[in-house]
Amino acid sequence: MISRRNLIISSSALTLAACSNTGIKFAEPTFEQVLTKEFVTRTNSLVDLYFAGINQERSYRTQLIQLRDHHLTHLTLWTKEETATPNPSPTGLQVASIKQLILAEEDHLNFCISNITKTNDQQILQNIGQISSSINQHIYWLNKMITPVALPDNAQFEGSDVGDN
Amino acid sequence: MTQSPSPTSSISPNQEIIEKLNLIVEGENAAIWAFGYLLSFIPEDNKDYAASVFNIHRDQRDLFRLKLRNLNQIPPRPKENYQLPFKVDDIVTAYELAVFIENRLIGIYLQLFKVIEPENRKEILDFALKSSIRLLEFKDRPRALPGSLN
Repeated sequence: MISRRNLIISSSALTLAACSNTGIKFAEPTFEQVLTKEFVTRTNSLVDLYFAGINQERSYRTQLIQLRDHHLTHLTLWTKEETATPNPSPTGLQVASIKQLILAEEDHLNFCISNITKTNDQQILQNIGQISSSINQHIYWLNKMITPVALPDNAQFEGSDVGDN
Repeated sequence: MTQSPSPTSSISPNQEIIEKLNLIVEGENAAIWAFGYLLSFIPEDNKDYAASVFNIHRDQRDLFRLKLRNLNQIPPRPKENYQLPFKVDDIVTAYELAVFIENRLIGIYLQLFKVIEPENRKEILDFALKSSIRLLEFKDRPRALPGSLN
């Protein structure tokens, strides 16, 4: 098992090694490698935002943890690791509202859709398809959390002066 | 609201794509049968939504049958009967069957999504996205990887 932080550190170390003046020429990364890296970065940011959301929205803690864990599962698709452990970034936001989470999820969905025509890699397309479906559910679910329940016109409330008590 | 089949989008006659189109028609045939079956277990007050989903699957089946015909292919015919994945005998198990069907269809649509030409991918992905919301309407919880069968 590898933590997200270790993953970031090791990928940074690899990048530094590639940039060192060794005289060895490294191959340019393919579009698919760049795209995968971008997905890892974006998914890590979403996980961080969920940590902040869980801090702020205590009454939805259980549901938000579930959605955050979905993003950790998505992360494993890109990193090909078996699991990813939740580690909040120490420099990230400390609190975030549900509305912020919805906006971030919508942005991620748009990013997914904007890339479906740019690659023919079937594994990447499979990942994007499943992740888009999952994010679509997240957006719907989060919107339900902040949408007041519509009561029928004839609803009566105990102890209130509504209706003919 | 119903979708009317549109013959406008063109798909290239690639054998792999034809196989996936056949899978979709077979999946939608099964969905139509399953929704027809499970409707009888849903009380009148809750029936409207499930009935509208039945119509959606019938329209989607017709749309993909038309796509196959446009490729000079004969679409697969529906079976007379299908094996249920589990026993359905009340509204709870009826909704579970609806969830099973919608989730399976996501997987089937994504099989076509990843092999079809780039210009047609968004249209196919939209079918999976709409199924993912119907999963929630049938009381399922969000999933990490909709369309996976395990």
